[in-house]
Amino acid sequence: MSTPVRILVGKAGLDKHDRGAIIVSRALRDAGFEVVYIGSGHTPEELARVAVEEDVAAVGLSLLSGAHLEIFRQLRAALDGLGADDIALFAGGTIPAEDVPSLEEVGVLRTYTPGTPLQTIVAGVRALLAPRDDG
Amino acid sequence: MGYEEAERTWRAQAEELERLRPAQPWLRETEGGLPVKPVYGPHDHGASRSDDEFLERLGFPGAPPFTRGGYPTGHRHVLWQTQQIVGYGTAEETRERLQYILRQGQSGHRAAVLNVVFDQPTLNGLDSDHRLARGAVGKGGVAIDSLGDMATLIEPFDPRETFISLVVTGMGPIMFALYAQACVDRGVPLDRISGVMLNDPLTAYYGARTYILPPRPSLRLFGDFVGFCTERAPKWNTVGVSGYHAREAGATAAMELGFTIACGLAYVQECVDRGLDPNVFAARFSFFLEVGNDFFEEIAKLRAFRRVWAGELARRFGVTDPRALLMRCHVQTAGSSCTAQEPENNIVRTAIQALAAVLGGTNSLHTNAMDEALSIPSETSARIALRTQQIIACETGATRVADPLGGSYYVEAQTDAIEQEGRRYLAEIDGFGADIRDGVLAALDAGYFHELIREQAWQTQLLLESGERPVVGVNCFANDGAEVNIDLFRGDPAFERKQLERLRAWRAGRDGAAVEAALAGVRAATETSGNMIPLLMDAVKAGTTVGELVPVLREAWGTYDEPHPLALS
Repeated sequence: MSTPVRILVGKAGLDKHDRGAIIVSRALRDAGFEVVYIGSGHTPEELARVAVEEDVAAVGLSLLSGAHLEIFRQLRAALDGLGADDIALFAGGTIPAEDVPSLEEVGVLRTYTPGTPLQTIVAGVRALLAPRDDG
Repeated sequence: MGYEEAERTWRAQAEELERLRPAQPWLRETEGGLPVKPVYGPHDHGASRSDDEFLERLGFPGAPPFTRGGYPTGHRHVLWQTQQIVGYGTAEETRERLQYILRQGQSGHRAAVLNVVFDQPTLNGLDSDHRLARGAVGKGGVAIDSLGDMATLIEPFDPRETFISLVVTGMGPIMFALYAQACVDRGVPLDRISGVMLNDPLTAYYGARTYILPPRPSLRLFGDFVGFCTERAPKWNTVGVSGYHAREAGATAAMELGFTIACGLAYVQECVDRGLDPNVFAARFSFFLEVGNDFFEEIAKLRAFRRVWAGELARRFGVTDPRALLMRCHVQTAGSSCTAQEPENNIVRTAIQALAAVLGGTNSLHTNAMDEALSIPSETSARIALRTQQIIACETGATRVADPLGGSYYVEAQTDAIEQEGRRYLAEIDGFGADIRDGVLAALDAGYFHELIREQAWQTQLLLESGERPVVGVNCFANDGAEVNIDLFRGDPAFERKQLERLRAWRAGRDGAAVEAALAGVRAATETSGNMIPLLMDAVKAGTTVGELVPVLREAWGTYDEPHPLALS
């Protein structure tokens, strides 16, 4: 690809456990993506606006707060509201396996729970955005 | 056969074994990267020390430099305090769980030992109805907006018979104002209350990250707080300088030692410059440390920690009172060592870490629950975590002897090695400024702490991914497709609605003019050098919420911007 695919990575809300988010950002960057790291302290609506402004292909959020379902539901709705229904979502963090189907229902295409190897995440995100690469 | 010949023979045998079967990298160094030989002997440390050297480096338990522990008989007569953290939902849910954990035998030096964690909005100084609080109220900790919430939280407990730990960093002085005022309102004088807070704004910038204000105003508020407590609440432990958060973010044990002691010394410097006596106030300083999987390295770290702290207080500030020289600590087992895979294994990891903390002479201990990597603890997992400590205390005999590993060739050599490595970081931080406080502040500005921690986290991740650092059930002996089959705690969305209702009722029931007057008083005080703590107590008494107080302080003193993580890597 000529221009690198952009991905927004961050935390939602106030949760500042960012060790995982920063490591994943570094791995995605090393894999050739352009990572916009936004850290924590943003509402889903603000994240959606930044995602559109930065023209990213995907948003990945790491959540250790237990608020993953609400946050992603709001983020998906905010993105769709801005006409950005093509921006893909993926999740990481302390998310119980039984919540993964519910996350899928609200539009989270990949969920990476603790202990997932970085290669798995990089390959998964690449696959998620593959059609875009071809186009 | 003489010593040297015996040593030569051993070396030849060891080298032959290494040639035939090279040891894995993780067998040749500690988790923190300190080299480890396959055997240690009397020449590796001071078993052959003279009596004078012994007294200077180790001494007896209960005497400086406290390498061997804070009390003459270790845990035989002074058991560590069991301090399981509790917090979720509103003050009502949390106090129920606090009562549950007390019924299960959580105990210490007072009748009720409470260790309370707060939700992210509270830790960040926001009210529960702030836009960023949505979905986070009462998650991972209790929501406290006002004096009413604090009064509800402690209502079942007699403050005179309570030791309370409030796990807040940047919010320390405000949370103290809430607790202290709630006690005063019940007729309990401040000199009868006892407890501790992290109240550690410096490590909050690179560790916990729950900072409220920029570094210099934070230090001013810290000095106010220590000055206030020294005079008015002398049983309150003013700080728990935290190494835990840096460790969880990626730091090694030696970084934890160097960074945390540097921050502790910066606080001492701030207070000394205000004319406070370190022989008095340092006796109420404490530390909040992590003990992870590397059993002997962690034991050595706790021993070295006490030695370095006592040594530096004496050398830099002329402290002589043994009570002030003693580094007392609360240890939490390593959350980051807990795995989401086969979570029952975390019970075993936590038990081993807890034993290391006990053998290292901790004064207080929280053991993580097995569901640490998945959610906040269920009642069952919280009970098992507490039982783990009780089993160590009652069944293992580990409490019979002070510093039971003292004199072990390896443990003494490791204690020396980690001291040396930790002092290397301390010296680097010293090098940033004219004194240790300026050094810490300049190192923060330069991104020194952030950079070292994030790079270490990255290196650790590579070791985990390559399998060079084995983790059972994850990258070795993994049971593919194993289902998590423990019952997880689930927060109830009703908690957030309930807290919002509490907050609405609180605002409706107070005197708006009194709130405005109190906030004006706080605003005015930020422009003077007067002690802020009485004004914070007045403000919460008038009914101001945390989310109203913090903006007033920020208007006066500004905010803090972290170095961008990807710019550093």
